[in-house]
Amino acid sequence: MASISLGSYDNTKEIPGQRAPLVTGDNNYQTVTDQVCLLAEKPKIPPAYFVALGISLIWLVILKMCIVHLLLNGVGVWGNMSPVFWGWPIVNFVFWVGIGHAGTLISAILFLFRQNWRTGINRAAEAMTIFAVICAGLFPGIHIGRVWFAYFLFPLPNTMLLWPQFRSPLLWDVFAVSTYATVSLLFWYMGMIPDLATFRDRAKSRVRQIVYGVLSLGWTGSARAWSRYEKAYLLLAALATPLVLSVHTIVSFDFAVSQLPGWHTTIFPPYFVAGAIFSGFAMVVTLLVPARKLCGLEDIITLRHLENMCKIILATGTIVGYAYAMEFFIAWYGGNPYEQFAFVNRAFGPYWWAYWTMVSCNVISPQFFWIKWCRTNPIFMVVICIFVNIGMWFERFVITITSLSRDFLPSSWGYFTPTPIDVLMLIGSFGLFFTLFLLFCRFLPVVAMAEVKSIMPDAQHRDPDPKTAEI
Amino acid sequence: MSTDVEHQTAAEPQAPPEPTLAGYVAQFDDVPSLMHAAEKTRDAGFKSFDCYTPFPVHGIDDAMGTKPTRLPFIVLCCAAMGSITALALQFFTNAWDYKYIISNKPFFSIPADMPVTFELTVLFSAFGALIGMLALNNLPRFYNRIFLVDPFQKVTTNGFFLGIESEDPKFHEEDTKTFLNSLNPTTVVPCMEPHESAALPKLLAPVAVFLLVIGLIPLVLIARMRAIPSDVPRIEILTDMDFQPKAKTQKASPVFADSRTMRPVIAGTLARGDFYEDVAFSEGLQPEQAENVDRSMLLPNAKNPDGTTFNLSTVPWVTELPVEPTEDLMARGQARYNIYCAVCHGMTGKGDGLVSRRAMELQAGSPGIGTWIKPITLYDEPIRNQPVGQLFNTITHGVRKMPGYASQIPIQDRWAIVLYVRALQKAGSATIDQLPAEEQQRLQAEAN
Repeated sequence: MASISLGSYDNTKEIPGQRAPLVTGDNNYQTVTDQVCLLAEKPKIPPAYFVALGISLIWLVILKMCIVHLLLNGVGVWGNMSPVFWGWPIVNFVFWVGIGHAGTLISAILFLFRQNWRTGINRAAEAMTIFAVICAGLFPGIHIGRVWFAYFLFPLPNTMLLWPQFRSPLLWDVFAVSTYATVSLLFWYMGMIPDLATFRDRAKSRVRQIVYGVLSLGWTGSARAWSRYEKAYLLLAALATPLVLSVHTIVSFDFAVSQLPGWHTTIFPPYFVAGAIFSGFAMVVTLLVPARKLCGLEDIITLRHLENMCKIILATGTIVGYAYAMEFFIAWYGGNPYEQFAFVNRAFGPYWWAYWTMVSCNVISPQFFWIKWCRTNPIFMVVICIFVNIGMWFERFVITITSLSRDFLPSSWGYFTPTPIDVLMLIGSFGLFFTLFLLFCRFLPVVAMAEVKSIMPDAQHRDPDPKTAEI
Repeated sequence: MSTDVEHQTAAEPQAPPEPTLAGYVAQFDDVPSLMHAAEKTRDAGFKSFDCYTPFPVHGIDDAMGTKPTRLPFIVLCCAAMGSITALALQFFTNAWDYKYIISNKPFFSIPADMPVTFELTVLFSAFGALIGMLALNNLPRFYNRIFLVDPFQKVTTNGFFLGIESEDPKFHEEDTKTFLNSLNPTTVVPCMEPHESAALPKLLAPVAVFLLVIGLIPLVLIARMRAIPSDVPRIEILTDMDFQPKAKTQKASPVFADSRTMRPVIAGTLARGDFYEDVAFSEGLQPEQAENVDRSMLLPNAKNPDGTTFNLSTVPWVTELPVEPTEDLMARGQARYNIYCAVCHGMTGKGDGLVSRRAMELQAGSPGIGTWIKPITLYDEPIRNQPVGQLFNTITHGVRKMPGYASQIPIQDRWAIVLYVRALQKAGSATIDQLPAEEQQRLQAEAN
């Protein structure tokens, strides 16, 4: 179909009285299905895929070696040292959990807002959520020192007759992140059932038939089944929406519930959630811009999709900038000398370099998206989004490390330095993330075909008019 | 259709049983035609029919006349269960079974319990939604006769189908086919139900049994290990904190030549606060003759070179208290005596302290066993005649079987005890004339 090469069709123009098409090119249900199934069904895998997978696997192996080294030698292999007892592991955890939230927002919250453009990206975004939560869950799992006692985190009956302490946000985290991982997985899997059925019906080899047949649970596309499915989808979306807000709120409570200056502020829950959506969307853009090119999906993940995501990045980035300003304002207005010091120290103390990296990457770089060209040029977008992710990592770094390194008592102050294991584990977690994502691209449906088809003009049961587009 | 019969003959070389007609499937081009067909089918009175689409079509529920699903109610029940479970869990663990005392916060507090409650509510609801949806849809269902219909493969790509099942009361082999053709479909195909399904592999049953038996072995081993006592310790894979290379008392040390972790006092040194210029105060010895005294002879059971017991009365003890004897000192001595000495020597110095009495009792019950010697009466002749310096030495180093109390009683307090012992000696050996007049009269009255 000629539509594959029409990737440069610009549906970002706003024409009054018309809605822009969300699937561009001369596409029908058949061609959409063919395009989405392309990478999964190709007998020969493109070399670019192997190169990317190879690099990711190398970093995954390095991560595994670092973890084994950590388990055999203890937490001392990291840079965590008095007074900074929470170092890179917690920063990485919050970073990855935040990234995961964008996927659920796209799936759930944009569904409730009836934003049809989400259908092109929600499958990949949900997959990104699952993999980001896996990377996030890794760090609390291995940072507890005696990892073989990880089951202490859960309220399981034990010989010491001890239970966990339910006042602690660290325990709320256990429940929140576990629930989030589980619900995201259920939502993602449920969304994939009709698309796995598509894979099953198109499968040429027996192995593929059996595997996808089992995974799709015998889906027939029956309208009665669809109606219950739609209801379940709506309910899961409604459940996942408060989950996005609550899970990162609970993660922010790890800090906000403490007494440290710079941590103990009520702005943390909304600030963290906005930051999570901000970094998550940036990661989605970073992933999808190359993916749409390599998988030939430019007609489904169109420039309008990318532009909408950039607008959300701009909005949430501005909220994050507002939160930074508010922290300073409240520190001044509240008159607490420790809090005032904490913020001045962030900007002008020994970690000033981290702070200004954070501000320039988080506040200044997304402002480029006010300019139309910036938010419709895929390569420029990816560059800005990489800066955003760097900035968001530094934000968690600044919050965690500066407040710990200089708190109430000057005699306790100390400067934190990461060890090579810290750095290798961070990069290795990206290896894990990209490995999983590349495997997902190859073996599972990358786009929610059923949902995309349902928003194409033919899907509305009125005469299809080429001028009017989807609701 | 012949294709279905071919599927049959390929699997079953014997005479195939006749497949029965399970229904008709009509294929349509696009959504509007499917919707019209569904409405007509509904109006014709069919109940066991269904539409099959690659994506959910809005409005098809009304076109087909299906009722709304009960799923939201199921999810609500699951949500309620989740909330109750979370609150019950937190109440039981932190407020009932083992109350956690944290800054006097209330044991059960709903605001503090909200995060976990909220998360578990959502978790249970999510399970309810997914599993409820699958259950209501009768999924997973890997075999479905409609998959045997050839064009049905397109249903997930771009095919729209309407199928009427033969179980419907209004189904009739010829009339239903005519009816479906009247809806202008692309094609109408019969759906056949084969009578025999493909046989399960013969190895399935033995392999399943074998795997089940193998799977039970670990459980049996675990049960055995829990029931039988073991004389070897558990295998610990990571022992890093069990064996710590730190210096513990009584442990051999690789650092020192004598391998002792606890180091003896270095010869020729004094601990801080241990130097006293006044030998009379610190040891109870006459200062001029203190140099010639062999201190090792002052220890309990010291022997002369010829094996006889050293005679402590030959030592130049002080005979006057080297501290000022005041009432306060006497009171202090009484208090300290009652703490340290009365347990064996008794409140009066008679040797009838609780420890001594108990030891005598035990010893009486086991003749020939036991080494307890009753403490000598402090107000009898031998001890009364000892100079204060010798009494001080007894407290410091001990004598016979009594241990020394130097590490427990500071020097000043030892002299206070010596002063009080002198008072006990006076009281214990007093004659009636030495009492005040009132006491004499009282005792005379009691004697009478």
